[in-house]
Amino acid sequence: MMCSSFARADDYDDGAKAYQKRDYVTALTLFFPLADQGHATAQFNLGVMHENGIGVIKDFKKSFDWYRMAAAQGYVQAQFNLALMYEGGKWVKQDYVLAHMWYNLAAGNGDKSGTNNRDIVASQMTPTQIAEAQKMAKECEKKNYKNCD
Amino acid sequence: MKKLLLILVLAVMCSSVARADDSDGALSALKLLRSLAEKGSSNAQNIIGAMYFQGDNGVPQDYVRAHMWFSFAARNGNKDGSKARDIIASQMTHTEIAEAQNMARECVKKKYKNCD
Repeated sequence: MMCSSFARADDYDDGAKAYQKRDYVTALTLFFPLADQGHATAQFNLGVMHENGIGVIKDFKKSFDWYRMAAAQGYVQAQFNLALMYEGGKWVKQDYVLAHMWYNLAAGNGDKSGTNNRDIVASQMTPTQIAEAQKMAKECEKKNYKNCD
Repeated sequence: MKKLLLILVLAVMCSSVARADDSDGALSALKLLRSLAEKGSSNAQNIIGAMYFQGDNGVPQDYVRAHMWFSFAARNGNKDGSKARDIIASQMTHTEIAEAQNMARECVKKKYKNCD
C-alpha cells in the first residue's frame, strides 16, 4: 500500500514535468492511470487537455467528465471550470442554476474568481433561480460534492 | 443596500482577526463563532450571517442561513442584525423566507446547537 502510494506520487510529478516540457504523450501515459484511480489533479489536468486539445483531440464531453470527477472530490479549480462549461453551454446545455451552484461551491472553498463569476451569473438570474442554486449548493456540500450534476 | 454593505464591512472587519486567507482557516473561525453564537453572542451571530451572505471563504453563499443568523442577532436586540435581515429578505423569495423562519424556530428549540 505504501509502495503503491509512493509510486503514484512519483508518477504524478513525472507526468507534470513531462507536461511542462510539452511531452504530452508521456504526460498522458502517466495521467490516465492515475486519473482512473481517482487522482483529482490528474483528472483535472486531463480535463484541461481535452478542453483545449492539448496532446489529444479536443473533446468537450471528455473534459466535462474529467472535471466532474475532480469536482466531486472537492477539487476547486475543477468546480470552477465545470461552472464555466455550464455558463457557456459548452457541450452541456447552458444552465445558470448549475453554473451558479458550482461557482458558489468554488467560492465557498476560497476561490476568488468563483465569487466574482457567481455574482455575475446571479445578476442574470431571477430570485427563484438563485434560491434554487443556493439550495442545490447546500445539498451538494452535504453529499460531499458527490452526484451533484 | 449601502446600509447592508456597511454592516457587512463592520462584521467582516470584526472577523478579520480570526479569518485566515484560506478556507480551512475560515472554517475553524466559523467553528469558533458558532460556539460564541450558541452562548447568545449577537455579534457572533451577525458575523455568521455575513459569512453566509458573502459566501466567499469557508462557506458557499446561502441567503436562507444568512437570514436565520441575522434574525438571531435581531432577536438578541442587535439593531444591525435586524437591518441586515430585512435587507437580505428583500432579495429572497417568500418560500426562502418561510424556510429561514422554520429553520430559525428549530434552531432556537435546540438552543442554537447543531443548527444547519
